[in-house]
Amino acid sequence: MKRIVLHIDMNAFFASVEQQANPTLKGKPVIVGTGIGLRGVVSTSSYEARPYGVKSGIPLREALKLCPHAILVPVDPSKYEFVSKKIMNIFFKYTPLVEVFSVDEAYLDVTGSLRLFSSVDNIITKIKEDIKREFGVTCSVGMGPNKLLAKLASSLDKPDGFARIMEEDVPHLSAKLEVSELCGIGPGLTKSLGKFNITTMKDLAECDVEILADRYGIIGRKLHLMGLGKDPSPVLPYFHYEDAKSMGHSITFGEDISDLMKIKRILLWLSERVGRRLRKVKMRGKKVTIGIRYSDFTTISKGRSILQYINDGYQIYKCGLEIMRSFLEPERDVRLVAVSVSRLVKGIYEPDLFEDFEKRERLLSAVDKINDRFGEFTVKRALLLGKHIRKIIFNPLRPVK
Amino acid sequence: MLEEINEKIACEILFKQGKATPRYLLWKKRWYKIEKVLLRWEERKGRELLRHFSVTDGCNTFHIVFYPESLTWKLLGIDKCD
Repeated sequence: MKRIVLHIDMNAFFASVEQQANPTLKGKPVIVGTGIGLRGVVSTSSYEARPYGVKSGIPLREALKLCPHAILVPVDPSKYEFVSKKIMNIFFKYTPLVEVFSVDEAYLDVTGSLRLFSSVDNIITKIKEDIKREFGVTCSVGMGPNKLLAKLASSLDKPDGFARIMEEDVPHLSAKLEVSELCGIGPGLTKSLGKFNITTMKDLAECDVEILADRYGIIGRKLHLMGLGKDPSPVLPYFHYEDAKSMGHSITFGEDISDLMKIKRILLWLSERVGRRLRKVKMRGKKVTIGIRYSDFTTISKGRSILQYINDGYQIYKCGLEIMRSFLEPERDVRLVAVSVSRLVKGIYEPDLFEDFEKRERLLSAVDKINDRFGEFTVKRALLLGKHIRKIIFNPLRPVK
Repeated sequence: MLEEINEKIACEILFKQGKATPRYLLWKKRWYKIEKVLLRWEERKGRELLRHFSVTDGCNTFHIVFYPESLTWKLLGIDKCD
Protein backbone atom coordinates (compact mmCIF):
# COMPACT_ATOMS: atom_id res chain seq x y z
CA MET A 1 0.00 0.00 0.00
CA LYS A 2 1.37 3.42 -0.96
CA ARG A 3 2.02 5.86 1.85
CA ILE A 4 -0.16 8.93 2.06
CA VAL A 5 1.37 11.81 3.95
CA LEU A 6 -0.28 15.19 4.56
CA HIS A 7 1.52 18.38 5.45
CA ILE A 8 -0.74 20.91 7.13
CA ASP A 9 0.41 24.50 7.40
CA MET A 10 -1.64 27.13 9.22
CA ASN A 11 -1.94 30.29 7.16
CA ALA A 12 -0.43 33.38 8.81
CA PHE A 13 -1.00 31.54 12.09
CA PHE A 14 -0.23 34.17 14.74
CA ALA A 15 -2.01 36.92 12.79
CA SER A 16 -5.05 34.67 12.17
CA VAL A 17 -5.29 33.85 15.89
CA GLU A 18 -5.13 37.57 16.71
CA GLN A 19 -7.85 38.27 14.14
CA GLN A 20 -9.99 35.57 15.71
CA ALA A 21 -9.45 37.04 19.20
CA ASN A 22 -10.30 40.52 17.98
CA PRO A 23 -12.61 40.58 14.94
CA THR A 24 -11.99 44.29 14.34
CA LEU A 25 -8.61 43.18 12.96
CA LYS A 26 -10.21 40.97 10.32
CA GLY A 27 -9.62 42.08 6.75
CA LYS A 28 -6.91 44.51 7.88
CA PRO A 29 -3.13 44.34 7.54
CA VAL A 30 -1.93 42.96 10.87
CA ILE A 31 1.70 42.60 11.88
CA VAL A 32 2.53 40.41 14.85
CA GLY A 33 5.81 41.71 16.18
CA THR A 34 8.35 40.23 18.49
CA GLY A 35 11.05 42.07 20.47
CA ILE A 36 11.01 45.44 22.14
CA GLY A 37 9.45 48.52 20.60
CA LEU A 38 10.15 49.09 16.94
CA ARG A 39 13.50 47.33 17.22
CA GLY A 40 11.88 43.93 17.03
CA VAL A 41 11.11 41.88 13.96
CA VAL A 42 7.97 40.72 12.17
CA SER A 43 6.95 37.34 13.52
CA THR A 44 3.99 36.93 11.16
CA SER A 45 1.84 39.21 9.08
CA SER A 46 -1.70 38.73 7.86
CA TYR A 47 -2.30 38.13 4.16
CA GLU A 48 -3.61 41.70 3.88
CA ALA A 49 -0.11 43.01 4.77
CA ARG A 50 1.85 40.73 2.45
CA PRO A 51 1.20 42.53 -0.85
CA TYR A 52 3.11 45.48 0.66
CA GLY A 53 6.19 43.31 1.01
CA VAL A 54 5.84 42.64 4.75
CA LYS A 55 7.56 39.31 5.42
CA SER A 56 8.49 37.35 8.52
CA GLY A 57 11.87 38.28 9.94
CA ILE A 58 12.14 41.85 8.64
CA PRO A 59 12.59 44.65 11.21
CA LEU A 60 9.33 46.19 12.42
CA ARG A 61 10.51 49.67 11.48
CA GLU A 62 10.99 48.55 7.89
CA ALA A 63 7.64 46.71 7.88
CA LEU A 64 5.81 49.86 8.99
CA LYS A 65 7.51 51.86 6.27
CA LEU A 66 6.28 49.35 3.70
CA CYS A 67 2.77 49.26 5.13
CA PRO A 68 2.22 52.37 7.30
CA HIS A 69 -1.45 51.63 7.96
CA ALA A 70 -0.72 48.15 9.34
CA ILE A 71 -1.85 47.35 12.88
CA LEU A 72 0.98 46.21 15.10
CA VAL A 73 0.09 43.55 17.65
CA PRO A 74 2.56 42.27 20.27
CA VAL A 75 3.34 38.58 20.09
CA ASP A 76 1.47 36.50 22.70
CA PRO A 77 3.19 33.07 22.86
CA SER A 78 0.83 31.50 25.42
CA LYS A 79 -2.14 32.22 23.15
CA TYR A 80 -0.54 30.61 20.08
CA GLU A 81 0.86 27.68 22.02
CA PHE A 82 -2.56 26.88 23.46
CA VAL A 83 -4.35 27.14 20.09
CA SER A 84 -1.57 25.13 18.43
CA LYS A 85 -1.94 22.29 20.95
CA LYS A 86 -5.71 22.24 20.42
CA ILE A 87 -5.23 22.10 16.64
CA MET A 88 -2.71 19.24 16.97
CA ASN A 89 -5.34 17.41 19.06
CA ILE A 90 -7.75 17.73 16.12
CA PHE A 91 -5.18 15.92 13.93
CA PHE A 92 -5.01 13.05 16.42
CA LYS A 93 -8.72 12.39 15.76
CA TYR A 94 -7.72 11.26 12.27
CA THR A 95 -4.41 9.45 12.82
CA PRO A 96 -2.02 8.70 15.69
CA LEU A 97 0.92 9.37 13.35
CA VAL A 98 1.20 13.14 13.77
CA GLU A 99 4.60 14.80 13.68
CA VAL A 100 4.51 18.33 15.05
CA PHE A 101 6.98 20.14 12.81
CA SER A 102 6.54 23.59 14.34
CA VAL A 103 3.92 25.59 16.22
CA ASP A 104 1.86 25.93 13.01
CA GLU A 105 2.88 22.94 10.90
CA ALA A 106 2.45 19.18 11.15
CA TYR A 107 2.86 16.03 9.10
CA LEU A 108 0.14 13.37 9.23
CA ASP A 109 0.56 9.83 7.93
CA VAL A 110 -3.03 8.89 7.06
CA THR A 111 -2.24 5.65 5.19
CA GLY A 112 -3.87 3.55 7.88
CA SER A 113 -6.83 5.88 8.44
CA LEU A 114 -8.42 5.55 5.00
CA ARG A 115 -10.61 2.60 6.00
CA LEU A 116 -12.16 4.65 8.75
CA PHE A 117 -12.66 7.87 6.83
CA SER A 118 -13.25 6.51 3.30
CA SER A 119 -10.99 8.98 1.44
CA VAL A 120 -8.16 11.44 1.87
CA ASP A 121 -10.38 14.23 0.56
CA ASN A 122 -12.85 13.46 3.33
CA ILE A 123 -10.11 13.66 6.00
CA ILE A 124 -8.79 16.95 4.63
CA THR A 125 -12.26 18.51 4.41
CA LYS A 126 -13.06 17.49 7.98
CA ILE A 127 -9.75 18.78 9.36
CA LYS A 128 -10.13 22.11 7.57
CA GLU A 129 -13.72 22.46 8.83
CA ASP A 130 -12.79 21.58 12.42
CA ILE A 131 -9.96 24.12 12.56
CA LYS A 132 -11.97 26.87 10.91
CA ARG A 133 -15.00 26.31 13.15
CA GLU A 134 -13.03 26.11 16.42
CA PHE A 135 -10.37 28.76 15.85
CA GLY A 136 -11.26 30.70 12.70
CA VAL A 137 -7.89 29.75 11.21
CA THR A 138 -7.43 28.48 7.66
CA CYS A 139 -4.75 26.04 6.56
CA SER A 140 -3.05 24.83 3.43
CA VAL A 141 -2.79 21.10 2.95
CA GLY A 142 -0.27 19.27 0.83
CA MET A 143 -0.51 15.59 0.02
CA GLY A 144 2.26 13.31 -1.18
CA PRO A 145 3.80 9.86 -0.85
CA ASN A 146 6.37 11.26 1.60
CA LYS A 147 7.07 14.28 3.79
CA LEU A 148 9.23 16.05 1.20
CA LEU A 149 6.54 16.10 -1.51
CA ALA A 150 3.70 16.76 0.95
CA LYS A 151 5.52 19.86 2.26
CA LEU A 152 6.24 21.02 -1.26
CA ALA A 153 2.58 20.54 -2.22
CA SER A 154 1.27 22.58 0.70
CA SER A 155 3.20 25.61 -0.51
CA LEU A 156 1.58 25.47 -3.96
CA ASP A 157 -1.89 26.62 -3.01
CA LYS A 158 -2.00 29.29 -0.28
CA PRO A 159 -4.02 30.36 1.61
CA ASP A 160 -6.69 27.77 2.46
CA GLY A 161 -5.74 25.47 -0.40
CA PHE A 162 -5.05 21.86 -1.16
CA ALA A 163 -2.54 20.42 -3.61
CA ARG A 164 -1.04 17.02 -4.21
CA ILE A 165 2.27 15.93 -5.67
CA MET A 166 2.61 12.23 -6.36
CA GLU A 167 5.76 10.41 -7.55
CA GLU A 168 4.58 10.49 -11.17
CA ASP A 169 4.39 14.32 -11.03
CA VAL A 170 8.04 14.70 -10.06
CA PRO A 171 9.59 14.51 -13.60
CA HIS A 172 7.32 17.37 -14.81
CA LEU A 173 7.89 19.51 -11.73
CA SER A 174 11.55 18.95 -11.03
CA ALA A 175 12.88 21.07 -13.90
CA LYS A 176 10.89 24.08 -12.67
CA LEU A 177 11.44 23.70 -8.94
CA GLU A 178 14.46 25.43 -7.50
CA VAL A 179 16.45 23.59 -4.84
CA SER A 180 15.75 26.35 -2.33
CA GLU A 181 12.09 25.33 -2.36
CA LEU A 182 12.90 21.92 -0.92
CA CYS A 183 12.56 21.59 2.84
CA GLY A 184 16.03 21.28 4.39
CA ILE A 185 17.90 23.26 1.76
CA GLY A 186 18.63 26.68 3.19
CA PRO A 187 20.35 29.74 1.68
CA GLY A 188 23.87 28.44 2.50
CA LEU A 189 23.38 25.07 0.84
CA THR A 190 21.57 26.68 -2.11
CA LYS A 191 24.58 28.92 -2.66
CA SER A 192 26.98 26.03 -2.32
CA LEU A 193 25.00 23.87 -4.79
CA GLY A 194 24.81 26.83 -7.16
CA LYS A 195 28.60 26.82 -7.41
CA PHE A 196 28.29 23.39 -9.02
CA ASN A 197 25.49 24.58 -11.34
CA ILE A 198 22.86 22.70 -9.36
CA THR A 199 19.91 25.07 -9.19
CA THR A 200 16.85 22.90 -9.78
CA MET A 201 15.48 19.69 -8.33
CA LYS A 202 16.21 18.05 -11.70
CA ASP A 203 19.87 19.11 -11.50
CA LEU A 204 20.08 17.40 -8.12
CA ALA A 205 18.54 14.20 -9.48
CA GLU A 206 20.89 14.14 -12.47
CA CYS A 207 24.03 14.81 -10.46
CA ASP A 208 25.99 11.65 -9.70
CA VAL A 209 25.24 10.51 -6.16
CA GLU A 210 28.90 9.71 -5.50
CA ILE A 211 29.92 13.26 -6.43
CA LEU A 212 27.31 14.67 -4.04
CA ALA A 213 28.40 12.23 -1.31
CA ASP A 214 31.99 13.21 -1.87
CA ARG A 215 31.17 16.92 -1.48
CA TYR A 216 28.57 16.80 1.29
CA GLY A 217 29.04 13.42 2.99
CA ILE A 218 25.87 11.68 4.17
CA ILE A 219 23.83 14.80 3.34
CA GLY A 220 24.90 14.39 -0.32
CA ARG A 221 23.11 11.04 -0.58
CA LYS A 222 20.03 12.57 0.99
CA LEU A 223 20.19 15.47 -1.47
CA HIS A 224 20.23 13.05 -4.40
CA LEU A 225 17.11 11.33 -3.08
CA MET A 226 15.47 14.74 -2.65
CA GLY A 227 16.17 15.46 -6.31
CA LEU A 228 14.30 12.27 -7.18
CA GLY A 229 11.39 13.30 -4.94
CA LYS A 230 12.12 10.52 -2.48
CA ASP A 231 12.14 10.83 1.30
CA PRO A 232 12.20 7.62 3.34
CA SER A 233 11.95 9.40 6.72
CA PRO A 234 8.89 8.34 8.74
CA VAL A 235 6.27 10.62 10.25
CA LEU A 236 7.49 10.61 13.84
CA PRO A 237 4.79 11.01 16.49
CA TYR A 238 5.68 12.86 19.68
CA PHE A 239 6.45 9.70 21.65
CA HIS A 240 9.39 9.03 19.31
CA TYR A 241 10.91 12.49 19.53
CA GLU A 242 14.60 12.76 20.21
CA ASP A 243 15.74 14.84 23.16
CA ALA A 244 16.83 18.41 22.44
CA LYS A 245 20.45 18.81 21.35
CA SER A 246 20.79 22.35 22.68
CA MET A 247 18.82 24.94 24.62
CA GLY A 248 19.20 28.67 24.45
CA HIS A 249 17.67 32.10 24.85
CA SER A 250 18.40 35.48 23.32
CA ILE A 251 17.15 39.03 23.74
CA THR A 252 17.19 42.14 21.54
CA PHE A 253 17.36 45.26 23.72
CA GLY A 254 15.02 48.21 23.51
CA GLU A 255 18.07 50.42 22.96
CA ASP A 256 21.70 49.58 22.23
CA ILE A 257 23.79 48.99 25.35
CA SER A 258 27.52 49.42 25.94
CA ASP A 259 27.49 49.35 29.76
CA LEU A 260 29.23 46.09 30.70
CA MET A 261 27.33 45.82 33.98
CA LYS A 262 24.00 45.89 32.16
CA ILE A 263 25.21 43.29 29.66
CA LYS A 264 26.37 41.07 32.53
CA ARG A 265 22.96 41.27 34.16
CA ILE A 266 21.25 40.33 30.91
CA LEU A 267 23.68 37.45 30.51
CA LEU A 268 22.78 36.21 33.99
CA TRP A 269 19.06 36.55 33.31
CA LEU A 270 19.36 34.54 30.09
CA SER A 271 21.62 31.94 31.75
CA GLU A 272 19.15 31.45 34.59
CA ARG A 273 16.36 30.89 32.06
CA VAL A 274 18.43 28.31 30.19
CA GLY A 275 19.37 26.58 33.44
CA ARG A 276 15.76 26.43 34.54
CA ARG A 277 14.67 24.87 31.25
CA LEU A 278 17.45 22.29 31.47
CA ARG A 279 16.46 21.34 35.01
CA LYS A 280 12.80 21.03 34.04
CA VAL A 281 13.69 18.22 31.61
CA LYS A 282 16.45 16.85 33.89
CA MET A 283 19.23 17.59 31.42
CA ARG A 284 22.73 18.98 31.71
CA GLY A 285 25.10 20.35 29.10
CA LYS A 286 28.83 20.47 28.55
CA LYS A 287 29.24 23.35 26.11
CA VAL A 288 28.26 27.00 26.58
CA THR A 289 27.93 29.33 23.59
CA ILE A 290 27.56 33.10 23.72
CA GLY A 291 26.31 35.23 20.85
CA ILE A 292 26.64 39.02 20.61
CA ARG A 293 25.15 41.24 17.93
CA TYR A 294 26.51 44.77 17.73
CA SER A 295 24.46 47.78 16.67
CA ASP A 296 25.79 47.46 13.08
CA PHE A 297 24.35 43.90 12.99
CA THR A 298 27.79 42.25 13.09
CA THR A 299 27.20 39.01 14.96
CA ILE A 300 29.86 37.03 16.81
CA SER A 301 29.28 33.69 18.44
CA LYS A 302 31.77 31.66 20.47
CA GLY A 303 31.43 28.45 22.42
CA ARG A 304 33.53 26.58 24.94
CA SER A 305 33.38 23.05 26.25
CA ILE A 306 33.65 22.64 29.99
CA LEU A 307 34.76 19.77 32.20
CA GLN A 308 31.46 19.11 33.91
CA TYR A 309 27.87 18.70 32.84
CA ILE A 310 25.94 21.66 34.25
CA ASN A 311 22.39 22.98 34.52
CA ASP A 312 22.84 25.72 37.13
CA GLY A 313 22.12 29.15 35.65
CA TYR A 314 24.92 30.75 37.67
CA GLN A 315 27.51 28.25 36.42
CA ILE A 316 26.31 28.85 32.84
CA TYR A 317 26.65 32.58 33.52
CA LYS A 318 30.18 32.29 34.91
CA CYS A 319 31.30 30.27 31.93
CA GLY A 320 29.45 32.58 29.51
CA LEU A 321 31.05 35.63 31.08
CA GLU A 322 34.55 34.24 30.50
CA ILE A 323 33.68 33.54 26.87
CA MET A 324 32.13 36.97 26.40
CA ARG A 325 35.14 38.75 27.92
CA SER A 326 37.39 36.98 25.39
CA PHE A 327 35.79 38.70 22.43
CA LEU A 328 33.50 41.56 23.54
CA GLU A 329 34.67 44.93 22.27
CA PRO A 330 33.77 47.28 25.17
CA GLU A 331 33.50 50.44 23.11
CA ARG A 332 30.87 49.00 20.77
CA ASP A 333 27.13 49.14 21.36
CA VAL A 334 25.42 45.80 21.77
CA ARG A 335 22.02 45.06 20.30
CA LEU A 336 21.48 41.40 21.16
CA VAL A 337 22.85 38.82 23.58
CA ALA A 338 22.30 35.07 23.26
CA VAL A 339 23.20 32.15 25.52
CA SER A 340 22.94 28.48 24.70
CA VAL A 341 24.03 25.20 26.21
CA SER A 342 24.72 22.16 24.04
CA ARG A 343 26.18 18.63 24.22
CA LEU A 344 23.22 17.77 26.39
CA VAL A 345 22.68 14.54 28.28
CA LYS A 346 19.75 13.40 30.34
CA GLY A 347 19.80 12.44 34.00
CA ILE A 348 23.56 12.47 34.54
CA TYR A 349 24.64 13.12 38.14
CA GLU A 350 28.22 14.23 38.41
CA PRO A 351 29.21 15.43 41.88
CA ASP A 352 31.96 18.01 42.04
CA LEU A 353 34.76 16.82 44.30
CA PHE A 354 35.93 20.34 45.13
CA GLU A 355 32.65 22.19 45.64
CA ASP A 356 29.63 21.61 47.81
CA PHE A 357 27.63 20.00 45.05
CA GLU A 358 24.87 18.66 47.29
CA LYS A 359 24.24 22.04 48.87
CA ARG A 360 23.97 23.75 45.47
CA GLU A 361 21.60 21.06 44.20
CA ARG A 362 19.38 21.46 47.25
CA LEU A 363 19.36 25.23 46.85
CA LEU A 364 18.43 24.99 43.16
CA SER A 365 15.70 22.50 43.93
CA ALA A 366 14.22 24.80 46.61
CA VAL A 367 14.35 27.85 44.33
CA ASP A 368 12.74 25.86 41.50
CA LYS A 369 9.91 24.77 43.80
CA ILE A 370 9.18 28.38 44.80
CA ASN A 371 9.31 29.61 41.20
CA ASP A 372 7.11 26.71 40.05
CA ARG A 373 4.51 27.81 42.52
CA PHE A 374 4.67 31.59 42.30
CA GLY A 375 6.03 32.23 38.81
CA GLU A 376 9.42 32.67 37.16
CA PHE A 377 12.02 34.83 38.95
CA THR A 378 9.99 35.09 42.16
CA VAL A 379 13.28 34.16 43.84
CA LYS A 380 16.29 35.43 41.92
CA ARG A 381 19.89 36.48 42.36
CA ALA A 382 20.41 39.98 43.74
CA LEU A 383 22.07 41.06 40.50
CA LEU A 384 18.67 40.72 38.82
CA LEU A 385 16.87 43.00 41.27
CA GLY A 386 15.94 46.59 40.56
CA LYS A 387 13.94 48.69 38.16
CA HIS A 388 16.80 48.97 35.76
CA ILE A 389 16.86 45.33 34.79
CA ARG A 390 13.07 45.24 34.55
CA LYS A 391 13.18 48.17 32.16
CA ILE A 392 15.61 46.40 29.87
CA ILE A 393 14.04 42.97 30.00
CA PHE A 394 10.38 43.20 30.75
CA ASN A 395 9.41 46.21 28.68
CA PRO A 396 6.75 44.73 26.40
CA LEU A 397 6.15 45.66 22.82
CA ARG A 398 4.05 48.79 22.89
CA PRO A 399 1.51 49.55 20.21
CA VAL A 400 2.62 52.23 17.80
CA LYS A 401 0.58 55.40 17.92
CA MET B 1 -6.83 48.12 18.59
CA LEU B 2 -7.09 46.78 22.10
CA GLU B 3 -6.89 49.50 24.73
CA GLU B 4 -5.13 48.37 27.93
CA ILE B 5 -7.42 48.46 30.99
CA ASN B 6 -6.16 46.01 33.63
CA GLU B 7 -9.05 46.46 36.09
CA LYS B 8 -10.90 44.01 38.31
CA ILE B 9 -14.37 43.10 37.08
CA ALA B 10 -17.22 40.76 38.03
CA CYS B 11 -18.33 37.96 35.75
CA GLU B 12 -21.35 35.69 35.54
CA ILE B 13 -20.39 32.25 34.29
CA LEU B 14 -22.28 29.34 32.77
CA PHE B 15 -20.77 25.95 33.61
CA LYS B 16 -21.89 23.46 30.99
CA GLN B 17 -20.42 20.21 29.67
CA GLY B 18 -17.13 20.76 31.41
CA LYS B 19 -16.71 24.25 30.00
CA ALA B 20 -16.91 27.55 31.79
CA THR B 21 -18.39 30.24 29.58
CA PRO B 22 -18.67 33.88 30.67
CA ARG B 23 -22.20 35.22 30.10
CA TYR B 24 -22.16 38.71 31.60
CA LEU B 25 -19.43 41.03 32.79
CA LEU B 26 -19.70 44.01 35.12
CA TRP B 27 -17.32 46.86 34.48
CA LYS B 28 -17.68 50.42 35.74
CA LYS B 29 -21.15 49.69 37.14
CA ARG B 30 -22.42 48.52 33.77
CA TRP B 31 -23.39 44.98 32.81
CA TYR B 32 -22.37 43.75 29.37
CA LYS B 33 -24.11 40.68 27.94
CA ILE B 34 -21.55 38.43 26.29
CA GLU B 35 -22.86 37.32 22.92
CA LYS B 36 -19.93 35.19 21.88
CA VAL B 37 -16.66 33.75 23.14
CA LEU B 38 -14.26 34.46 20.29
CA LEU B 39 -11.24 32.63 21.66
CA ARG B 40 -10.21 30.96 24.88
CA TRP B 41 -6.70 30.03 25.95
CA GLU B 42 -4.65 29.21 29.01
CA GLU B 43 -1.46 30.66 30.41
CA ARG B 44 0.65 29.17 33.18
CA LYS B 45 2.00 31.62 35.75
CA GLY B 46 3.84 29.59 38.36
CA ARG B 47 1.37 27.12 39.83
CA GLU B 48 -1.63 29.13 38.65
CA LEU B 49 -3.28 28.36 35.33
CA LEU B 50 -4.88 31.57 34.09
CA ARG B 51 -7.91 31.29 31.80
CA HIS B 52 -8.07 33.96 29.12
CA PHE B 53 -11.15 34.75 27.10
CA SER B 54 -11.66 37.05 24.19
CA VAL B 55 -15.39 37.88 24.19
CA THR B 56 -17.77 40.23 22.47
CA ASP B 57 -21.09 41.80 23.40
CA GLY B 58 -21.83 42.11 19.71
CA CYS B 59 -20.11 45.47 19.53
CA ASN B 60 -17.10 45.76 21.84
CA THR B 61 -14.35 43.14 22.15
CA PHE B 62 -13.10 42.37 25.67
CA HIS B 63 -10.02 40.49 26.78
CA ILE B 64 -10.78 39.07 30.21
CA VAL B 65 -8.84 36.70 32.44
CA PHE B 66 -9.76 34.45 35.35
CA TYR B 67 -7.34 33.92 38.26
CA PRO B 68 -8.31 30.58 39.84
CA GLU B 69 -6.25 31.01 43.05
CA SER B 70 -8.03 34.21 44.06
CA LEU B 71 -11.26 33.48 42.13
CA THR B 72 -11.08 36.91 40.55
CA TRP B 73 -11.59 38.31 37.07
CA LYS B 74 -9.77 41.10 35.34
CA LEU B 75 -10.51 43.08 32.23
CA LEU B 76 -7.13 43.31 30.53
CA GLY B 77 -8.19 45.23 27.45
CA ILE B 78 -11.09 46.45 25.37
CA ASP B 79 -11.59 47.31 21.73
CA LYS B 80 -14.52 49.75 21.75
CA CYS B 81 -16.77 49.77 18.74
CA ASP B 82 -17.70 53.44 18.98
